[in-house]
Amino acid sequence: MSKHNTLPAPSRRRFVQGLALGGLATGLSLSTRPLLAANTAPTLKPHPVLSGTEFDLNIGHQLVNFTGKEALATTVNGSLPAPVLRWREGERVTLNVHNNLDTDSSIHWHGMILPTEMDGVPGLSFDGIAPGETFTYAFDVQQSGTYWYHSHSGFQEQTGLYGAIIIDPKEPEPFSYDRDYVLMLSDWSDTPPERVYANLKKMSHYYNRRERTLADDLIPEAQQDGWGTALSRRQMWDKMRMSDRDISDVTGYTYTFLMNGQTPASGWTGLFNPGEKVRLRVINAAAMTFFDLRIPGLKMTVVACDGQYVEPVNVDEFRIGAAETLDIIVEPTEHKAYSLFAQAIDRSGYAHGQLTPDITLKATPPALDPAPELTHMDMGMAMAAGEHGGHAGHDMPMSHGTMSHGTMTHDTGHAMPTQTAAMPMNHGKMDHGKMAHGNHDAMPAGMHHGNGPASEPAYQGNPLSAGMPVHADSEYGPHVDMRAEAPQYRLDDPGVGLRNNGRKVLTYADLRSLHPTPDTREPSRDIELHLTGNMSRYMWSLNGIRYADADPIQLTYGERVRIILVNDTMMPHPVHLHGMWSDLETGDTTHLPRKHTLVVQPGARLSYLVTADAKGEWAFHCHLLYHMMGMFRKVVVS
Amino acid sequence: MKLHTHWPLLALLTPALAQGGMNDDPVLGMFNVKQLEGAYSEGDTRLAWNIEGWLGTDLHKLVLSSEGARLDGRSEEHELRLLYRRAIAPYWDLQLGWQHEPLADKRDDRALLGVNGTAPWYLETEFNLLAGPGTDLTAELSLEREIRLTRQWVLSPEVGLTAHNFSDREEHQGSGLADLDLELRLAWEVRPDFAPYVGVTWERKLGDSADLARDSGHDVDETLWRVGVSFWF
Repeated sequence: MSKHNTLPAPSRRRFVQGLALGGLATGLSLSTRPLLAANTAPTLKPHPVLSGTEFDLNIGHQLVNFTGKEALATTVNGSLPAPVLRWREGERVTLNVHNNLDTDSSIHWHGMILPTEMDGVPGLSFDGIAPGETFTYAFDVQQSGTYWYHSHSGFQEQTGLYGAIIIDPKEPEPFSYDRDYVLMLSDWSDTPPERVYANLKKMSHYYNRRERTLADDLIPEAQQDGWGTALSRRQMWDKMRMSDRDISDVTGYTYTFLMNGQTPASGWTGLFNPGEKVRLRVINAAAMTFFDLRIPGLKMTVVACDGQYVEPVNVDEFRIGAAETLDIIVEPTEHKAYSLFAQAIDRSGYAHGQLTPDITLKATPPALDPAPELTHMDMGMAMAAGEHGGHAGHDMPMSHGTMSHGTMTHDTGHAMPTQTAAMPMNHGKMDHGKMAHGNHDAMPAGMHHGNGPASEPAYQGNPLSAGMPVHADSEYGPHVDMRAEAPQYRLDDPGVGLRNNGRKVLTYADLRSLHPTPDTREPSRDIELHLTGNMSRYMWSLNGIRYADADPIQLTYGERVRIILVNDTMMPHPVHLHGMWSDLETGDTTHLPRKHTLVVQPGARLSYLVTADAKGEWAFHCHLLYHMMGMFRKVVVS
Repeated sequence: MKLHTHWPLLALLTPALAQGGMNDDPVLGMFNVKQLEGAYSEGDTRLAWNIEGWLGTDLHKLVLSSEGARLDGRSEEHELRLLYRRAIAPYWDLQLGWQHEPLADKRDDRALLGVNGTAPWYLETEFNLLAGPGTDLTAELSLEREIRLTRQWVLSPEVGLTAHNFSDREEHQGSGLADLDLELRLAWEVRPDFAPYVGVTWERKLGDSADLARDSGHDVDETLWRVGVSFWF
């Protein structure tokens, strides 16, 4: 399709008509009647869309029923998801947010560039909105695209306080379409989130019902490959006290996955006429879930990511991390219902809806993919035998658990300042080339596990040539259970469960901004942050230091910095910097994709450039809700 | 680093050191009924229990546990422990505290020092040293491994060993290795926090302890059949 606009953008009238989110709407008044969502027939009742420049948003409680059981949700104007807010680039919006809850609340405008006091983070931007109080947000809308808003207080985001933001651009969009729908994905649990969090602290695998078992996989595997092979495959993981089936902390065991606030059973429905171009604004508003979305029978053209235009990419499937947004265009041509299938990363369930030319047609979701299994690579270990040229059969050691870290400090000669607990780690201007892979042979040969699966693929996408990481002293102790010893740039890795699945899966390496990189300065310094935790104790931190104990990250107003994230855990983390764009380093410096939330794959690293062009105190955190309190930093730009 | 990192007890007393209303490490409590069962042996059915409650944070916990058995409405054995449990490594806790036996004829309180955690291969491990009265020392070790047969059926073999540096004729406790317990439980995990089970335990007295038992005409081994439930909240 054409990259540049040939048609005028659809009229506002058409937008509003097309923007049917379906099912759950109860109007704009604060309603006390229950929102019934379970097992209802597909409906096309429009989801509330509020447009203009002045908005009244009422935060309150609402009874919902997604599972056959009533539960209390946190909603805006009685709606879950909250109403779609439709703004125009260049206008000033005023939002009166009234808190009807009996606890503090807040709304954060995710991905918006705005003054720090309008950002909505209690403790940083403002004091939060006390019960019964109204806070008026007012700011200029300086961008366009698809964004979202959510509570930044307690666990209110888990219980329903999230909604879409659509900003119509001043300039015509570089693509055309006939219909426009929001697909807001989320995860709902009837269990109160405080209880979910406590369950995870008491038994971290509480929600993982896909652990390996004797009957389901060891015995069949042993019969096929022999007991020796089958057991030795488990040996590494068991020895490490970790599970290669540990994909998601909170799963379909408690979650019902929603699409625009509708369960798979009720099935959100969007209409199209065959031959029309349909724009889907996919927003992952889940508290804890990564979704893999595909529409069997349709190619999807990705045109924007995190609200920002990218060069169109055709894919069959994409993974979307919590808080990311993706705009895609599809062209369904057949007279049939197409399944919008968003399976959770651990395959414990899915969100589902459909695009159909006829309300009486119903799409059937495809079967879930097999449960993914983590590999050495996802643990930040070097690849197994045969994958790494000259290093065949020589696996890298990995330090974790009770292994003495004395033998694991990699004093292999590269001149790199070893940081102590002082944060943030500032490596100054480092020559990454010096820390290239040449050190492998000098590493102590630690654990050998030559029996790993031989088919783990190797990924390139290494714009900066990764070096051995240096782990701060603060990363050692009972609060951190592993450290990646060979984290790679893996931007072209579709991620666990999507590799070699026969479909073209979007990766970060495919993203190229449509516009040239606005700030082409070299970064003045690197800030390296390690995503750390102890899964079994359910503790999360950055560089081994939780937010409550951490010093803020100081940025100088106007400076351009590189942030390097190293994932020392075995799960992906979507990391969000408030108030400033994150320009993901993909290797193509002229067109870096601009994002607000970046997913760092397990055992991997990535880097991005930030221009500190917004004074104030900003939040920087993992967007998985139950990780956020520990994996959080205050960023001060002054 | 803030104060409570260095003063663990402060963390227990002042839960809300969070910024911006966020607290990643709230004070939580857990009531863990590890075993509540009928234990059948040689014609007698006892009510036996092993219950642990704790209050604390990620790294520091105050633990109260009770383990015992009743026969015909009368408690036969009962150990109460009050422990401070502190994380010392990713998978290991140190525990320090007191054991009290309410049923003992003489005052029989002991100080306890031990480690508790998960060894490689998911071996749930607990090792304790009990001291008192005087120079009496008892060491106890238990190792348990969960084997998940299916999603819901879980088999748990467990080995327990006890040793003393003293002899107590009345209690049939002799110096050296004293008791070996081999236990096998099959649980039906209805939910992660609720599992009925059946089990069998073979208890054998060893060394001097076995001799003392034999001398007084008692058996040196015993097989118990168990039916019970474990749950926590």
